[in-house]
Amino acid sequence: MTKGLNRRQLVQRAVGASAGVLAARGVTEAAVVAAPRAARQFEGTRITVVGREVTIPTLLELSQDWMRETGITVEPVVVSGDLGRKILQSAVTGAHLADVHLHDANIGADLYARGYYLEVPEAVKDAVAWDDIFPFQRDRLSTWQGTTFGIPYDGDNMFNTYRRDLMLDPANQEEFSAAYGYALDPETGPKTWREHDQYAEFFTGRPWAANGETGYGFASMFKRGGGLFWAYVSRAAAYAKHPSVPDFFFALDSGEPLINTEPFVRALTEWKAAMQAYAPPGAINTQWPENVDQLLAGRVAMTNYWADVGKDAQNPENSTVKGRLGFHFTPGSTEVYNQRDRAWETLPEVSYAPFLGFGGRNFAVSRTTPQAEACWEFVRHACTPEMTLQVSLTPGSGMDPVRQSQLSVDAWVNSPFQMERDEAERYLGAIEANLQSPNLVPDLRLPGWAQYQDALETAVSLALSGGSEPQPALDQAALQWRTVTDQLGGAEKQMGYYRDLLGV
Amino acid sequence: MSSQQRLATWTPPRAAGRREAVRRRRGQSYVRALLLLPAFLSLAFVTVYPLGFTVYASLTDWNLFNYGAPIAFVGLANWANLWRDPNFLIAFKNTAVFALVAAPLTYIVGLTVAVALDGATVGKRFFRVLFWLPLMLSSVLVTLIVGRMMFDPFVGPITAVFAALGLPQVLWLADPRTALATIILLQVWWGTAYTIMLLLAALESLPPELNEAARVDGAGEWRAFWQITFPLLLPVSAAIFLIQVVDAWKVFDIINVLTGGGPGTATQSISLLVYQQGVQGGNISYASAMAWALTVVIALVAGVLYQFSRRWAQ
Repeated sequence: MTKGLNRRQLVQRAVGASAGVLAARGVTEAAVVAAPRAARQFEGTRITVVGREVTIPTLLELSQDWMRETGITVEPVVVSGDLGRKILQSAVTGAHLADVHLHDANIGADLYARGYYLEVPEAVKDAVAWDDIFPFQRDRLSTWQGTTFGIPYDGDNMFNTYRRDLMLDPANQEEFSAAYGYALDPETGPKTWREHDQYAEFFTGRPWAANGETGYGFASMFKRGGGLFWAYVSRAAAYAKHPSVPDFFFALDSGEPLINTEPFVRALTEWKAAMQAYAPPGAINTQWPENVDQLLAGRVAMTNYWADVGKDAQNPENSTVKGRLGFHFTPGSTEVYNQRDRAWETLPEVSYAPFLGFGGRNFAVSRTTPQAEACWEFVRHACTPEMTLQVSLTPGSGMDPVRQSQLSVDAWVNSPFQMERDEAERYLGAIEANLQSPNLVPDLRLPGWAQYQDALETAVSLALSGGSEPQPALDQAALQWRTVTDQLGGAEKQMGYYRDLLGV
Repeated sequence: MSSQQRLATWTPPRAAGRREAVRRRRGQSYVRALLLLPAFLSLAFVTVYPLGFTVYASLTDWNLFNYGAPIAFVGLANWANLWRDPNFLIAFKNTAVFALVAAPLTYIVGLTVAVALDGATVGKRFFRVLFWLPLMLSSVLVTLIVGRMMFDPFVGPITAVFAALGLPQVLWLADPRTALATIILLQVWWGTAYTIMLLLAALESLPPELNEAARVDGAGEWRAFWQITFPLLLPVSAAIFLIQVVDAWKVFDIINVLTGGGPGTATQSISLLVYQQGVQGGNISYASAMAWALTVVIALVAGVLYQFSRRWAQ
């Protein structure tokens, strides 16, 4: 990333990087320019928008011309603390927080089920090149019971980021082959969790770290309330998500929680052993920022994380690993549990189950707005492929690709990130492979998801800390999940929502 | 009117004055009541009503995320569930340990430092500011900057000292055996500033003649402190201790930022659990029951301490 530039300059660079890319990728001119509108049609209209702290100012900076053109003034609503909770609270109380929201997709159920947002008009979908958005985000994460309420803006998905340079090192190659009987693969990194733990074992305790200190195998989010749910589920998915069985968190027919079944117990048992042996000391308190820092500081060889890590690594002021990274699916498994048959199956090839942890963010228009027309005008401007790309190319925006048109290598190479071409190819290739996977695992976007999340996090953390064995800990979590399901209207109601999310 | 009738309606002048005074007093009390009404109404609105509402909520199955479902009255089911909920019982145990250790330790350390500062002849002002510094820091700053940095397993100064002394690395916040103790230590460091400030003010307001007289009678420093100074500090000590204990039972922010209740449930507190269930999870009814259970415990503890403090003060 370029040193010494302010946000305005970074945004300008992002604009430059995205110019011309979209047309080359087949996005229609009409979509980019958005729907025709009468000049100054909304003269004097003020609307408010709430969203992530860097994203909205970036977006508004990019929208100055548009504001002059339409006469709409867009004002950001600054929310301190947890934005998701604030939006949820406003939905629960029916309060008006802002006219337009950029909300977390995983609380979408709690928002959409209440009818807190307006349905996205077909004309807006057309204007924002709806088909350019990746299918799962477009058809599932932005809808509720068949109605579209959100426009995907951020495509959170998790994959393995690893130190490719270490795996290319001939001495490491030779030693690893001799020890484990197969070669380190710099192009994919570890393909299975078994390989992952062997890679981790190999790179733990060797003096390869950035400052000549001992390196560790991997970092992960082990802390309760610090991303543990997503880190654990993305690991368990390899065993628990069979390519031909949609059931994952619950048995779809009965609503019975599956989180205490064999694949989840196996994943937890292995994860705990790997944490104790190959993660840095004190790993149980590692949450999302430290997790990234460990990789950027050159202390760990791998981390399974969101796409943000690839962007964060490009800033030489904070990162020692720019140009040294490889990206590939979260490790998979050839042994996968079939939840319908209650049996393990050995598959001919490695099965990957990419987890859409957190689910990204969607734009939506609040039902409480008195200015719906102006809001849709803003959304159709903000969500064009061009704007979405520019925002995602601005450092700190936190928006990951959610559209096919955002995967232009040229754009990323010429962006403020100044990604090296081959690293950009690997990075965008991993994102595309993830988001196009037929075996995607969506996050638990159900009403009351935070209660499910907390129960599972508590159980997993208890097992990781040695306070309980994995099986009884997960049994306890499953018991709590049943209670939560009962409190929220019962299995039939919740499974109806779960089936809707999965599209089955 | 006959003289008899006149006699019947006649009232002595003193009785008439009394009635007038009663009327006037009544009028004054109406005015007082009227003046107090806004304060009473606002108190009722911001305190009594929410408290009453949470009592009601604790007797229902109200969950914010159960859309469209009517709220049902479930009696004491939520209260009964508390004692069967392993998470609540662990949180209760952790909170009790935290309060029972942190509050007395904070007082003892605070008293020691205050007495030392009171008797200091050099650098008193400098050390006073130094010891009060934590008081000016927000809890999040204390936990994030001081807590995390001090106990960081890689760069923390405590880790460095242990390494220099050849002691084994301790994963302060990552080990379930040491996590709660580490948080107590941090709370003591932070809470001590407040104790020092109040005790130092109390010490400086004591009449010096009493100590001087004791010295003249041959009492040493130690005896003069225990028999003169400490008893005189007891009323303010009781108030400080009561505040520390009540605060300790409500511990939330330090734990939320440092460990999130983990590792496992090693540092789970009741307030954190209430937050997780009610604010994050939307389970208002159960969180209300938990919050009220905590309030009852605090009220009992405060009541007992108040009785003791009255005896001490006497």
